[in-house]
Amino acid sequence: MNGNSLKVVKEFSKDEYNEKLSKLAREIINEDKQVVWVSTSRLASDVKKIVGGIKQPFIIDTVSMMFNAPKEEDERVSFVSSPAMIDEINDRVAEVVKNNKGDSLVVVDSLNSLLMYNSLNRITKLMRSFAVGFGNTDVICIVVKGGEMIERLKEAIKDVFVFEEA
Amino acid sequence: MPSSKEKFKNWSNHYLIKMERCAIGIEQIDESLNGGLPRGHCVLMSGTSGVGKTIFAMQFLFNGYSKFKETGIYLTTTEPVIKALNNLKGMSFFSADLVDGVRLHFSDLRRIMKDWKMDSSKPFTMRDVRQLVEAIERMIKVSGAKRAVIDSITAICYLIHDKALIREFIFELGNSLNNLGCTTLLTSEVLSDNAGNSSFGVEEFISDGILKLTFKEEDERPTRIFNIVKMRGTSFFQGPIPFKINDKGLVFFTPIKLAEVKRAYDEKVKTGIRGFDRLVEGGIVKASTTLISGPSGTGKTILSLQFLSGGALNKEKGMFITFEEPESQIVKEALHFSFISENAMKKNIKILSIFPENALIYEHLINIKNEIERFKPSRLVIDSLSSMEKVFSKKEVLEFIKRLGYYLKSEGITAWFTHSSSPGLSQSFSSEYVKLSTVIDNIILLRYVELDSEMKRFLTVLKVRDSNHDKGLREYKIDKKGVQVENTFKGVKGIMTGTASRSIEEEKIFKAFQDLSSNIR
Repeated sequence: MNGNSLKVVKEFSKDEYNEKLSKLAREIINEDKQVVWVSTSRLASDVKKIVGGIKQPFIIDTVSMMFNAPKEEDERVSFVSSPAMIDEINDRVAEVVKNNKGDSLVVVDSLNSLLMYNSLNRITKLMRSFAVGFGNTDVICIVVKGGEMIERLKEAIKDVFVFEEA
Repeated sequence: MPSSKEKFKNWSNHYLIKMERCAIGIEQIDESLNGGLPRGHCVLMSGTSGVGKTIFAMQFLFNGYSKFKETGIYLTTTEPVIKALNNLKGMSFFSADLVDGVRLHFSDLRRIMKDWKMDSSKPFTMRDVRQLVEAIERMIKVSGAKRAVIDSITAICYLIHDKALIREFIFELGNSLNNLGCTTLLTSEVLSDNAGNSSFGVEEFISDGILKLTFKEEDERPTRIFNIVKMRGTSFFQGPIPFKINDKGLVFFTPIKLAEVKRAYDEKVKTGIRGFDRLVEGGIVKASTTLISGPSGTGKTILSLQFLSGGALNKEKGMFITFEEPESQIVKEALHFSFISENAMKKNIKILSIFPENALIYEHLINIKNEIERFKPSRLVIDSLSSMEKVFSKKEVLEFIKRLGYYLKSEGITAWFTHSSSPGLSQSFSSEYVKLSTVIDNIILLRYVELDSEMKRFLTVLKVRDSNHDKGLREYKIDKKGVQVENTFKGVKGIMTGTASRSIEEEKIFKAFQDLSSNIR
């Protein structure tokens, strides 16, 4: 934990993942904070559908280029070539957070996808960077429960994140 | 103490029965594999471009979650993910919601390899191969995927290039995914159906199973065929399974099994055709199959309808399957005669009008079987085999008769198949169907003959199984009551050769009769 900021890992079950994610999106999007949504498993257009409403987050889309999908022409969407480009993701989030005038809330959906393309060490480093390096910025990471690798990741970041079962 | 042979038998039985399955979610294929692919197996799916490999692989993944709640992962190396997904839109098994990276995860291996700084411009080294296996293994581990598709293994093999390394890659990958309990389909592109099961020739030896998809040309009609070439650890259906691609994905038509006919019937079935049953000692045997062959206009359809109405009188259900005419035409034709009422027709007779060209022959077989299972008829008519011959090859029609015939026998259904022959007489019976002597029990020939400046119809019973029968050439008439079988042509010779004439005595009597008639006038 860093100051008063929120550093949370929300744990979803596989079957309720979409439903719980939509619920969470609706809750946070109405807050005063500027949401930065890091999508590692959905296209930006799909993230917009999940979020709904008038207020849109800033989306860092790591999927469109990997899927070879047409890029959303939206200044509030930024593209990274794949979830494997972890340093680029870190830099892009830092840049958006820095440029935000108000407070930011970073959502990472999901740690599972990041872990599929990157080693545990690299993800741990990224998480620590989000927890410590972003100061008062709130960070919510989504994780879908299950598997040894996820448990190992949780163990590695338990000192900087709080876990909440959604 | 059991002998080592017995021990092996017990072990293999246990192994085959107990081996956990990963059902594909396509009933016909799962049945053919005794429940599905063996869990954890790495199976090669081989075929030429456009035959349906990717769609099958997608069905495996989407059915996996929607039917069995098993997560899946799709790794493409051939086409962009978005293109692969867009191609599935409109297919009933596809659900965009499932592509959420959690339930179903899609990834482009080429892009990922690039991001991992793997140099695809040079042939892969052992280090690259190991890195790739580890990377795929990590994806499966994290996602908890129980199903994986690599589309295609051929593209990866082109990167690896060296046959020994390809062998190492598939072996290591298979071993690793097997340990994770993940069942994997590797698609393999081949240039032609005769080009083996893989491009490099080693993929097939290292895989646990091979599914082969091919195109077959039958009378210039391309038909897709599915074959299970190899599957370790399980018995499987060995034979071609035709399939087609529609909005349901790959739809398979497993041939109706040549079921063992367990019961031999002795009881006779009255045909309901006036004067006919006495030619066959009171009727034809229940569950027998009869072929009625005759040129157009000899009354095959009427005779068949009369056969069904004969059953309807005893409240037996009948099914009339026409490949020639619309249902309304058959109803109109039947009601023109007095042998059946409209009410009895509605109640007991189902007419199905089928266009032969609208489906594969095995599809027709399955559709007919399904209709029979629903309606449960005691009698069935197929009108006519000749219409099928216009669309399908003789070989296919013979296969159709054989499989349907065995099925009908095993279900105790008495069947009539009609066949249009040429108007000529001696050459008019199709000898091809005689080859099916185990299926075709009875043969009735219908013919025209010109006699006394008049075209007359006659029939003859050529064959009746398990019964004696009249061998004469019988004249028959068609009137309001339907077909009426009459007497033999006495004193007439040469009918079968098409040169009918009266014998000298008959001629004299006939002449005298004519003279007498003219004198009276």
